[in-house]
Formats: sequence, structure tokens, C-alpha cells
Amino acid sequence: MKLNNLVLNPLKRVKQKRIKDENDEGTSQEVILPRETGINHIKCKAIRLKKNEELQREKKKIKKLRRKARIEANEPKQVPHTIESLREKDETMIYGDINSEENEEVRIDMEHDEFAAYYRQEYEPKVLITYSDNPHTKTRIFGRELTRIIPNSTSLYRNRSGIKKIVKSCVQKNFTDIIVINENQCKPNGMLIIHLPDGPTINCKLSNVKITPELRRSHKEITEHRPEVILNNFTTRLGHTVSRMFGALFHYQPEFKGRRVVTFHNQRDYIFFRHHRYEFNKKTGKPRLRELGPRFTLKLRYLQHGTFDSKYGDYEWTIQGRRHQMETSRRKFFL
Amino acid sequence: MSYKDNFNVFVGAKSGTFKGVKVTSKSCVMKNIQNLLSITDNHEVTYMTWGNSEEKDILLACGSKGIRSVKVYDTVNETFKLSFVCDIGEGNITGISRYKEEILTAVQSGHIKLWRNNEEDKEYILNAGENLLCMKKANVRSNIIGTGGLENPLKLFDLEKKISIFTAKNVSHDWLQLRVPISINDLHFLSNNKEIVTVGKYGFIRVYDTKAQRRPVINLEIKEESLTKISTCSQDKQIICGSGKGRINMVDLRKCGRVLNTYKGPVGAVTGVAVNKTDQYIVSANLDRYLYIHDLNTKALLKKVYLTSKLSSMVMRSEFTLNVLEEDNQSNDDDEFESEHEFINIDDSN
Repeated sequence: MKLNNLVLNPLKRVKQKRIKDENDEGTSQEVILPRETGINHIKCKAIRLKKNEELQREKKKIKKLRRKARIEANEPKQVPHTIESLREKDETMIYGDINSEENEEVRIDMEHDEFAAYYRQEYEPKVLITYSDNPHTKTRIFGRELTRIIPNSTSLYRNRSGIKKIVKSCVQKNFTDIIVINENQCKPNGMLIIHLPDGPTINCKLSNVKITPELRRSHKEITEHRPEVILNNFTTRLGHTVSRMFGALFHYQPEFKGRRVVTFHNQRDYIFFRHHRYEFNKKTGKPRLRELGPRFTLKLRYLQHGTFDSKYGDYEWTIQGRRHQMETSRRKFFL
Repeated sequence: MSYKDNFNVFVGAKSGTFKGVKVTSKSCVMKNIQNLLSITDNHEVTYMTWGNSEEKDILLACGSKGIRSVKVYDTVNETFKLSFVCDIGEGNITGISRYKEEILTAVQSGHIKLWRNNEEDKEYILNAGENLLCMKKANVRSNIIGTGGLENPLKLFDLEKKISIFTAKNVSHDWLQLRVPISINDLHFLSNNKEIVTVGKYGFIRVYDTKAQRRPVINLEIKEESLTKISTCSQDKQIICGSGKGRINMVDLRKCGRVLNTYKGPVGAVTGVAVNKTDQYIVSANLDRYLYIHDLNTKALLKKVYLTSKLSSMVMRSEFTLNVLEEDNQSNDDDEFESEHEFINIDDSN
């Protein structure tokens, strides 16, 4: 079953054939003893090392020659196999243009979800950033830097209020999203994003947080301009929902004058956040990037329908308590 | 019988799509019955049920915020027979059933109304109290309905006399002398018709016996799970319940009740669950956009069907089976247990 999902390595196939031939010979003729090409039996270390070097050199030579021959023969370049390229197929993956006919149902699903109003540009997002109780310095600075990144956002301390209470009062005050930064051992370690007024809610593990001083930058470099948002590599239906959620935090009209760009890049289910200012070289026209910070990594824990109710809410997707069940392979990804 | 072969499961989705699905062990055909381009925000399916035990037509409740409406889908002719706007009370339609060829609806604000064809009366016939989350009709005595919701205990009403005939009493305080909150997400009449099973947000499974007492006769709890839907097996002393975190359990109601099998696979909230007539399969619709089919006895996940939208409700034909006998399914190279079922199925049909 699993093998069918993977692309077979062409090189491997050649190898398998050769083994088969040898086996055939072995069965028809006498027993073939293993060849003694190794140098492991040499006991003197100095000689063994020398021999090994020679062997390696020879191997490299052969490799080079082969490569040369391949280039001369104009063979197509081999594409290396990575975990991503060998990824297990997911039925929920969305291919091609969203407006095409085969994706019609997905499009209609998206047109009627909770973010549809934002993507129709009916409201401007207004975001509240808050923390767990008694946040430490790093978490506080991190939250304040986020307010600089996300336009029209405010950072407030929680004052021991419950999240459900915060949700209620935020809906009254016309907030559209809440971000709660959780911390452990003085370091931010979790992020809860609630879309208002009717959800959904996502909870992410937050790791590798680097605030601007740690990147030797200054928060003053972050301008007030509305940033551009890049949502990269979200392929499945779940991934699309999550990316729409991140997208809906920012204003839909970026101010290109600020040349600020915010990136959410998904790779193997980890979402990498980076914040840059770009610049085009006037002569060559090539872009240059300057990272402004902060940077962090997110990993989705759950997506819950409706506003925050972790105990009794209806989940759309959750990995909590079933990781062994769901993570069946290294090459299986959900976003 | 031909219309019964057409689709064996119907699902309604949050996005407003309404689909017919034909699942067999080898193939899976699905069709959007609701035209995709005509879908508006008022099409979100909130509740779905069979019109009667013949399973010829489906009653659908649509819309949650704007206009709420009721539709009747005829599976024989494959058309929408009837549709009308349900403008009484507030909130989602939480239950529909048919009573003497007329349609009975219940909404979240507690108003229960019988929609007569020619009468334009704006009055509701019953008020079941605020936060109503469930309304179901008894299987045998058709004039009795059961209701329940959040902080709204189980009540039974007689539709003919329009009076309440039973109101449940909350269980006694817990060991800290604190009140136990009430919640009913789904209820089901057992076939002996005097016992009712309810499940709720706080993970309680309660069986009420109307003849015995007002408090539940069986009260058991699945901790940290909010139970959303139940369905009974034909043996009746076993029920299947699904939770908001995607757990499906079999619960045995003999003696004091016991949680038995867990059916693995779902990763989101269960929004619909049903068991077929022969007690072989559990079909469950899920908010994670999949339809799951489990084997009731071996607990194995037999099939998983991706249906593109977030499913919010489901109905299944009671003679649902994965193995259609018309197909020539000899010498198939499927899993072992699937071929086992074929044999069971052939035995059953004889």
C-alpha cells in the first residue's frame, strides 16, 4: 500500500535487477564466495588509512567520469529525492487553480466559511494580542513586536481573565481576532489564535522564537506600513484553512511603500514565520532582503470549530492524544 | 427497490452542499444533489432525518443565521418536493419530524411548531424552553416527542393533547455538594419505547425510564469528552456514541452500563452516526470532511471517504451494506475481513 504512494527511485531499480542476475547465476552455477575488496582485514592502521584514501580517490574518479559521460550524452538531470518530493499522497490536496472546475466545491466551501467576509474585503481586521498570566520579559517583548508587525493590533495584559470572557468582550468591542501567547520557563511556547465572532480557533506549538535583540536588530526598524503577506506551501484542505486564518490577521491592502513582507512558510508541517524588508537593486533589478525579526516556528496542534472551548468544543482536526495513530510515516504531512 | 440502490448515504454540509453517496467495498460514487452554484449562506444544513421509516424522503433543516428553511427531498424521484421558510422563534432548527403527514419543527429558542399546509397561523404549539438542542419523535407511539438542550432537561410531550407528560429531574449533587450541569446534545428512544438515552456536552450518557423514576436509571460518564451524537444498534442494549474530539464508542446499557469498543480513525467532531440493520457497520460523518465506515464487531476502519465539505449531518439507509451482491465480486484481492463480510452478508440474505 505505502510503496504505491512513493515514487520509485530509478537508480534503485537498476540495482535490484543486478542482484537478481547474480542470484540467477548463483542458483545455476556453483556457490560464489563474497569478494574480498575491503581493507578492513589490514591490521596496520597507517597502511589501512592509506589504502582507504586510494580507494576513495578511485571512487571519486569513476564518479566524475560517469558524470562527464552523462553530460555528454545529454541525459536529463536527475532530481534528488527528498522527503517532500516523496510525500505520501493526501486526498484532500488541492491542485491547480482554485477557480477551475474541479475545485468548484472547494471554492464554494471557502466562499461560505468564516473568513469569507474578510476575503470579500468587508471589514478591516482588528487584533488583540494577549499573554498567559504574568508573562516574562521575552514573551512581553515578543508580543509587543507582533503588534508592530500586525497592523491595527493592540497588546494587553490578561489580568487573570478567562479566554471565554475575553472572547465575549472582544466581540462587543469589534475585535476580529485574538492571539494568546503562552509561555513556559520564561520562553514563549504556544500560540492560540481565535477568529471572531464565530471561530475557528487554532492552537499551535511555538518554538525557536528569536526576538529582534537576539537577531541584533532593533524593533524601531519595523515601520508602521501595512505588510505584504506570503503564505507559502499550504497544500491540503486543512492547510488552506490554516493559511486563510493567518492571512485574515493582516490588512488585505498592503502598503507597498513600506516594502515590508511577512512570510508564513510551511515545510513538513512546521510553519516558519519570517519578517523582511526588501529592496531592488536599481542597476540589476535583483531583490535584496533584510530580515527585521522576530522569527518563530509554529506547529499546528488543533483546529477547532467555533470560538475557544478546548474541553467541550467541536474539533475540525486535532492531533492531541492520537499522534501515534496519525503519524504513520515520516513522509505523511497534514498541511 | 431501485431507488434504494441509488445512494445509500446522504450527507449535508456546513457549506450548504447536500450529497448522495453510494459506498461499496470497491467503489464510492458521490453526487451533489444541491446545485453548487445556487448555494448561499442560507443553505447550511443543520439537521437531517428520514421522513418516515420507509426511508423514501429526507427532511432537511437549512440555514443558521439568516433565513431558516425546511426542505423535503424525495429520494424516489430525486427532487426537492417541498420547501418552506421556518420563521418562528430564534436560532437553528434543531429537530424535524413528520407527524400525521405534516412537518414538525423545533428551533433553538424552544418553539415547536406543526406546519399545516393551508393554515397561516403564526402560533407555535409547544414551548420546550430555551437552548433546545434536540427534538426527536418516539419510534412507536408517534404522538410523543422528546426534547432537551443546554440547561434544559429531558421533557416528553404529547402532541395530541399538547401537554408535557414527563420532565426529567437533575441527578443529585456531586460529592462536593455542587450542582451537576445539564446538557443534552442528542437523545434516542429505545425500541421498548419507555426508555430514552441521552448524551450531552459534559460526557454523560443517561438512560431515563419514564415508568420508573424521574432521575436517570443509568448514568455513566466518559470523562473529558463532549458527546455529540448517538445511535442504537438493533440489539438495542448497545448504543454507539460519537464525541467532539472524534471518539466513537460502543456503550453497553445492560446492568449499570459500560463503555466498550472504541472505533479509531476520526480526527474531528462526529456529527452523525448510524448503524445498519444487520449490526455490521457503523457509518459516521465527521467535521474533518470524511465519512468513516467501521466494522461494529472487529472495530476495524473499513472505509474512509473524503467529501470535500465539513459534514454537519448524515442519514443512512438501514439496509446499508458495503458488499453489493449484484457486482461480481469473486476472487477479489481485498483485505481478509472484507471478504469475510461477504460471506456473512450472503448468509444474512438467505
